[in-house]
Parts: sequence; structure tokens; C-alpha cells
Amino acid sequence: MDWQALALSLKLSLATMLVLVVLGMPLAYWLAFSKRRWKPIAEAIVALPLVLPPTVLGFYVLIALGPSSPLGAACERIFGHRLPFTFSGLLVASVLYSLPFAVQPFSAAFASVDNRILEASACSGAGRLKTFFRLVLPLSWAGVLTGLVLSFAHTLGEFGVVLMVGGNIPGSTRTVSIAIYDQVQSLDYAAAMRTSGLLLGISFVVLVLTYSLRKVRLFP
Amino acid sequence: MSRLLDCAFERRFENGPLIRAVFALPTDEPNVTVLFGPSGSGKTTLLRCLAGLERPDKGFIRMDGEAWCETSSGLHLPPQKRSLGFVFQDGALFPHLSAAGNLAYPLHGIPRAERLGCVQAMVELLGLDGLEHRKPGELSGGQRQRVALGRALIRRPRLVLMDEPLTALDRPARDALRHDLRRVFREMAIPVLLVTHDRDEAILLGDRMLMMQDGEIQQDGPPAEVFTRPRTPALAEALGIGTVVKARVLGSEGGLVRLLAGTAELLAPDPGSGYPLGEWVHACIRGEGVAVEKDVNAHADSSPRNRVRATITGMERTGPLVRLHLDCGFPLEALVTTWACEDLALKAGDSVLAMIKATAIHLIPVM
Repeated sequence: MDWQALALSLKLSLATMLVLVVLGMPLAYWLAFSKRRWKPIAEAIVALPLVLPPTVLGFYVLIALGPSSPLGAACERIFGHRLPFTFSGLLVASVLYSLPFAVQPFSAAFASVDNRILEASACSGAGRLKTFFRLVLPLSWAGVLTGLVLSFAHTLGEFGVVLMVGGNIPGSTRTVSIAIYDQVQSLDYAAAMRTSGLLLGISFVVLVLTYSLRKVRLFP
Repeated sequence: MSRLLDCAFERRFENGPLIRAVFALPTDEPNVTVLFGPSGSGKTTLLRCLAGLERPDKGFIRMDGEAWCETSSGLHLPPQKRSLGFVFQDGALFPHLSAAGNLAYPLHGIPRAERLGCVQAMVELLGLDGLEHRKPGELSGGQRQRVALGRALIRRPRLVLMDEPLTALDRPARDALRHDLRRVFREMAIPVLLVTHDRDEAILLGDRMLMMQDGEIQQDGPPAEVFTRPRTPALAEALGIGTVVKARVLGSEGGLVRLLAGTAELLAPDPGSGYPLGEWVHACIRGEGVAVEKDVNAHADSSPRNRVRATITGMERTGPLVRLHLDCGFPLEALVTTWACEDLALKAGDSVLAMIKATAIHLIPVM
């Protein structure tokens, strides 16, 4: 069992989830309530990772973060090292790849909050932040939870993007899914079976917990 | 600067009606203004424009000299900056917060002890004792509307807007809250603009009434006056009462109440509350319940119990009907067919006997 790869996968999934809380929530809020005409374009960009092959996304991220692109050069100056084939690079790619899995449930949940409740809040003199933290977030917690878990589980099972951007460096970019691929390549089916089973188990338990939690009603 | 809510604005809906509102309300005295009209007449839109939930296309809204909205300069304050309370038809309470949590929500940035004090005072004012910790889902409809009202009042805003707050309630809850509203409005001394299409509510709660029809304010005055003397036949039809007159209870017998209206005595069915002697009531008389007889000395051999001598002061045709304005010790409206009118050769100045069916009289207490 490649425990190092499993630990790395969990670390990457958690980090991706946290980044998506910080970046995804404002984006989802904007998508849920904005009336801009070009909103569909933003919605399409967010949804792109759902339809693009991971190799395409990974390829673009690799190019964009590479030393020959201005963005990559800037990142290199900020982080002190190149992003591709490092954990940070992997994190950037994962965040992009899992974006729709967090933002879409967030956005749908925010949009489903009764508009009159938001109006009542505005007429009570509450600003946007108070409305969001006191009303929108608690009233849409089930959708937010779904988004968090989906982005976590999706990152856990990521393969193509990791391979493109991260490569296969033990302890740094070698995640569980890559480890399984290696085990199969080296015909170590018993190890692949164990690792796959573990990943299946973790994913299943996380999803079961989520769907049971969603049934819990916070208010009558 | 005069203390006034001063508005003149327009709001047009795509392929829809044009809503125009030109009116002013004094804000330095506690008063309840009722915005009355049939559904679809634009009442709610007007209220939402005042709250800042909708943007007028043209015009201005000024509160005590301060501009809330001015389309010429593109100024439009969001609801947060308007110091108002809004009561929605179904309350729109926050379902995950307790009654006390809902009440306290509009109180920002004040110490906890003071906030609790405000909530406690509101709980007492609205009779919500013991319900503070219940969630909206565990409250009755009437209790929910009380919480919604408290939430709108607790900041002591400069204006309270209410959009048909009683419509969704069942009859007993509505009656109970209606009576409490009047008391609460007085105690809080905040000007209120209340939208309703319920006549009783308008007469009971309103100090002043704006009658809205086809997107415009058609008449403005005390409710009894607007109901009794509609400016146009179309308004009369929409208002649908005929006469509203203040009367005093002289006594009650056998389920009937004896009243003195102006100089005329009337009998009306007792709605069950048992009016004490000497109390004032609004007597609302439907025009179709009033018949006229040319012979002022006719014998009492027909069913209407109220027979009073009257003079015709005016006549108005509305389709197949004629609206007769009578003076019988108080101004009275009668609705008769054109045919009957011609048959009796009625004309202004004639003396007639007005017969009012007791069942056409509906009493509303004066509060």
C-alpha cells in the first residue's frame, strides 16, 4: 500500500476544497444573483472542466504555468520555484478542474433561497455580508455541503490533470490514482486491488455521510 | 424643511400597465394611510418603489427633504439606506431563526443587553410572550404576522410599509390582529402606509385613504368620505359600498342594533360583538339595499325596516343603473334601475321615502 500517495491525495483534496470555499463562494454568489448580460459566458467557463478532457485542461495549465508564459514567470517569482511538477502547480490545476463541482451546487443553493427573504433582509437594513452569513449560507447549507464534498471527492479521483501537470514524483505529485496506474503497469494487481478498494471505500463513505447529513433539518 | 414623504414617480412594466404615483404624506404625526384598490391596480408596485425594491422609471421620492430616489440624477438609495420597515403579505420570516432572532435581526451594532431589551419590549407590545424561542414553522399564521410586524417596527424606522399583512390569515386571527394593529400603530407613533383590498380593514385602520385604480391614485381622503363620495362611477363600482356614516348605538334588541346616524334612526343586524350603548360605529350601507318610494306617507307594509324621509340631492347614471344621492339626515346613496327612476319620474329636489334593508347595513367599530 502506497500510504504516501494516499496522504498526498487527501492533502490535495482538502487544500482544493478550502481554496474553492474562498474563491468559489463569491463566484457562486455572483452567478446566482447577477443580472449581467454576459453572465452565461461566465457560467460556460465555470462549466468547461465538466466537458473538456482532463488532458486538454492539464495541457493548458502546463503551458500557462510554464516558465515561457508571463503568468508562469510571475508565479515563479512569487513562489520561488516553477509551478509545474510541484504540489502548488497541482493545486492550481485541481482547483480549476473541480471548480464546477463546487460552484454549481453553491450557486444553485444560493439561488434557491426565497427572494422575499433577501428583500426582507434589505428592508431590515442588513448589508450584503450580513445577509449572506446570517441568511443565505445557513439556508443553503445542504447545497454548500454537497459542493464541498463533490469537489473533495472529485479531486481525490483526479488522474489526467495530475499526470499532465504534476507528473509522478513520490511525496510531491504522486497521488493515489497515479499510484494505482503504476501498480497496474507493473502488473502488481494485488496492490492495485487494495489501493483501488481503499479509494472506493473512502469515496463511498464520504458520499453516504453527505447524503445522510443533507436529510437533517436545521429548522422545522 | 417640512416633515413629509413626497413622491411623484412612474413605473412602467414591459407590455404592462403604467403605474403613476403622485402624493405626499405627513411624517411628523402618527397616521395610517391606506392604499386601497382592486388587485392589479399597482398598489404593491407603488409600495415596492417606496421601499427601494423596485426602481421607478421617472420621478422622485423624498423623505423629510432627503432624496431616496431621483431618476433625473440617477439617485436610487437601496432599501438598506431608507430607514423603513416592510411587512410582506406572508411575513417572509427567516425560517431558521427563532421569533426573537427574527425580531432582533434589524438591530445592528448595538450592545447585547440593549438589543434584548428592545426584543422584550416588542414581545410584550405584540403579545408574543412565551413564543420567543419558537421557529416560524412552529407559529400560527397570526403569530407569524405579529413577528413580521415587530421586525418591521423594532428599529423605529421613519416609515412602515405593509403589503396586505392580514390577507393570508383566517378570519379569527385577522380580526384579532386588526384590532391590535391600531393600538400598536398608535403606541409606536410611526407613519404607516398599508396596502389592502379589504374595505373593513381600510375603514377600521385608515386615517386617510388613497384609492388606486388602473395604476393611478384616483382619490385621496378619509376612508369614510372616499367610500361615500367616490369621484367617478368607476370608482364607486370598485369601492362597492355606497354609504359610510358614523353612527351612535342607541340600544340593541333581538339581535338588532338601533343607531342614530345624523338625525335618522336605523336598525342594523348586530354582528355579534354586542355594541355598548353610546358607542360610535361606522355604518356601511350598500347602495343596492336602499329603495325609494315617491309617496312619503306610504304605509310600513314592505320588508325594509328602515324608512326615512329624504331629499334627492343628485343623480348619476352608471349603465342600466342610476345612483341617487339622498339627504336623509345624513348623505345616503341609493342604487336603482333607470327604468324605476323613469317610472317614478324622480328628479333632483324631490322628497322621497328611503327604505334601507337592515341586512344592507354593515357595522365597523370606530377605534
